[in-house]
Amino acid sequence: MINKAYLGDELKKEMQDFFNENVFLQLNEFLDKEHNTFRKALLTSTNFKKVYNPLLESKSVLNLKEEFSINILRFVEYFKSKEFIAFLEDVVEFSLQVRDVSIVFYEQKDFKLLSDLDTGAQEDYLEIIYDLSDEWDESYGGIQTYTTKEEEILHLEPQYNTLTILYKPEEVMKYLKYINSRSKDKKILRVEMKFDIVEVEN
Amino acid sequence: MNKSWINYSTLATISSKEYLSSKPFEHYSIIGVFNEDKLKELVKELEAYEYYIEDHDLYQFKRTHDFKNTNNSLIKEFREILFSDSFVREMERITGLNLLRDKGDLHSLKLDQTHYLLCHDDQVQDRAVAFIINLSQDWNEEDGGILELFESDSSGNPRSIAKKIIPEFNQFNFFTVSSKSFHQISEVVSESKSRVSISGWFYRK
Repeated sequence: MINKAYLGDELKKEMQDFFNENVFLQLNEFLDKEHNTFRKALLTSTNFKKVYNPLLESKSVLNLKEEFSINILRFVEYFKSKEFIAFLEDVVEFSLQVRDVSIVFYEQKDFKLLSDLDTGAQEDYLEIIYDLSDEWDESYGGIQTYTTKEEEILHLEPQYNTLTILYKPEEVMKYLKYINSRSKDKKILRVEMKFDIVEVEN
Repeated sequence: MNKSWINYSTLATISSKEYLSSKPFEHYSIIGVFNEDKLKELVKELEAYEYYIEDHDLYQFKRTHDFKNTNNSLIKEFREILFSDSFVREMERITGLNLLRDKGDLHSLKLDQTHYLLCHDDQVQDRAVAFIINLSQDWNEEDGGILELFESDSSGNPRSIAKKIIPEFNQFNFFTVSSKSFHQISEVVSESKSRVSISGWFYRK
């Protein structure tokens, strides 16, 4: 499923060097097929549940326990598969263990605030986002910002079929800008994953 | 002191008992406390005033600097009236709190299309009473920019919106700042109108 362009040795070295230097990496056109099948299956699922905590976030999360769509379950399993984890380990040069995989969408009026209550904020982890969003414009809001108390370090804009790999240290927090009415019925749809860093490979 | 800014007879109609028993937390919203003509003059002055964009995770809007050091004589006069003994005494009568004279924060907010302020409680240092004086005219619910008050659950966290206050010209909203005073301003969706207000805080003595 991974675009073959990312599997060659030459690009692998380039990805490793970039990640080492920047602690994040974005791979466009990440899956070579089936991304649209997954997206369609997700958009027709009735198992998304609204999560609203006024002091923390507003979003819709897929309840995987109630989801029986073969396409969706296959998609989720892929991101937990040996093939996918081996690819990540090759790029980041850490051994990884899946902590959490969830499918989320954000729409008009949704947001995520900076908070110490952020799950996993007490330790470093690897954050992976696979994006299946509608075509997006910065003026809609929805930009995810990573920041320390001193400075903003990264802005992530939704981009279809893009995989973002990010090393998230304890001191870095994130927020997703309130999505305003200009977005109309567009959605940020994505797989949000957390991986524990088991050890650094030598 | 020029008292023509304030309609004290209107302010006197607010009962402390009603204020203290209001839900979801102690608050009041009343039209006509201020002199309309004076407020219209103030709106004109603010049209020429400099606003700065504020853009964070919690909010996006335009704000002036605090009016404490303003050179604008009309705004300066209004600030003096708001934090004067006569006005603060009335606020004390209604809220049952002891408030400082001659000290308080005052600035103007301007919310254009897509601007908003998400849920928060205003608790910072010794803030005692928060207030918002709406200056926008011909505002409708569908324009957005609504002041929304939250009720809290048994753990003290905001749960759901319990009251909505649609902006009106010369509307004076105020509430006691506490661990329950969760509120927000919904997104302004009007393409042509800006939601302009003067807001600030009275401090505990």
